[in-house]
Amino acid sequence: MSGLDNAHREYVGSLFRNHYQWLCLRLRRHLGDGGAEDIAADTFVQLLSAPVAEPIRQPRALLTTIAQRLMYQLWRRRDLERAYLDALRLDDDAQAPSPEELAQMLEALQIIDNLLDGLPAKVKATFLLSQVNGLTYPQIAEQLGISQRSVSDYMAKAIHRCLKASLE
Amino acid sequence: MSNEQDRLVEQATRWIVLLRSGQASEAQRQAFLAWRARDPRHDELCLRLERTLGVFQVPIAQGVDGGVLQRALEAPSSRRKVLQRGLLGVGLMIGGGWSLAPSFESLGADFSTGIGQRQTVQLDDGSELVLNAQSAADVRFDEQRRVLQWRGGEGLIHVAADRRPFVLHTSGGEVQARDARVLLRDRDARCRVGAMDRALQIVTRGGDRLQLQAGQEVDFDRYRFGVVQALRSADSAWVNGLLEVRDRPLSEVIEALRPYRHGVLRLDPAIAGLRVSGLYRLDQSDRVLDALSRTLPIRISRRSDYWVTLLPA
Repeated sequence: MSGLDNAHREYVGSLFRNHYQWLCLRLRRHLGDGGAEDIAADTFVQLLSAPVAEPIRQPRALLTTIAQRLMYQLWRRRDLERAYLDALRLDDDAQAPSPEELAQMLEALQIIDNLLDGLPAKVKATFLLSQVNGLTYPQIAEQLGISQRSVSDYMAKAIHRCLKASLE
Repeated sequence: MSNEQDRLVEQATRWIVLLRSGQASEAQRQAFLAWRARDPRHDELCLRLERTLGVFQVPIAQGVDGGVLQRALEAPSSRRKVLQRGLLGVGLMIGGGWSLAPSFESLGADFSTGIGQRQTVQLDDGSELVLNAQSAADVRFDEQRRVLQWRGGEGLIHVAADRRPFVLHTSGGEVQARDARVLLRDRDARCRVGAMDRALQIVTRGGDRLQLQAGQEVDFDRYRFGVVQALRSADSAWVNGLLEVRDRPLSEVIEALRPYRHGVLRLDPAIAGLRVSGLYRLDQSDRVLDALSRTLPIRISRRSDYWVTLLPA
């Protein structure tokens, strides 16, 4: 471990001592008791693994930003969980997942959600039928009631997005 | 990203779109392999894409249909998600360059409960908000107005007296209140609002208006109002963790239990209309199901704790 890493650890340690209680208190309003401590702890873990070049001028502003982002992720996870369970419930062919499978699936869903975020619904639908169901373009065109040309265009959008994400 | 990298991504996109079509010839397949082998960067990009797409092995292995996945991804994405993206874009710019100074004001405004959680929140103006499980709301107060943006779920709002009007935004329209207790449910684009002690004004998104008197409740969506009815005390029993029903369809009981359960709970339509009466604890939904199966002509099929189906006996 380099001297810089050590200095960073010590610095985050001091931030933790000075601001952890404050952060928990602010978060508790939104998340109840257990959730607040989890997010507050995760906030410092993220800070610990982030590269820091210079001293942070406004530690509380930074902690707020990280905590906010973690909270939004938690909320999106809840939204996805509810929507996924609803979709499973309404799908006659769906198989009963084990608790482990469900947990795995929810984690995957959040990654996929981030990956495809912002793409139009038709693009997502097209890509998922290709990627998950393994359908050909003529099959996708028929199922979605669109032209094969559109299927190609939509696939190009989705693949382009995935390639870009692969380079980040 | 450099122009060179952009060009690579364009090329790779064209190849992969062609190969996925199900109509690529053997010669085209060979040509792609040759392209991939020509330059280590081509191969590297393909490998990276395979890693990125590895996450799809989870639904494929579990036999989850792409259509189910699609519906799940369509989960209402609130403003929060936009914010999340924005923040991700900012990244962790730590150090001297750190000048963005978000306050806890914006964070201080959003509330959300997960499965099986209830929460009481005190707002800055003295109002109180009780959230049922799986519910969310954002608070936007300024000098002129107090706006509560309802993101879905169920809540009891005790609106404090204040010179500023209090407006509750729901999926179906706006509810205006002053120094009043409001009961709200907003799920799947259907709203139910109850006026517990003072009259409320409701305006649907379509522009229809209604004055709801104290002790009344009404269902509405963005297009129309349902019939105004007397508010039932049972409607706010959830605040105390209770589910109180008198001669209501089984489907209503199941809907009330859903926010309290992880996993799938299915109800056979043949028994959805069975009438139910009773007082149940929301926090013990499995016991509620067992109790129902003893008093109604239904049986419970538990394939796992996460997959429960109610069937005719």
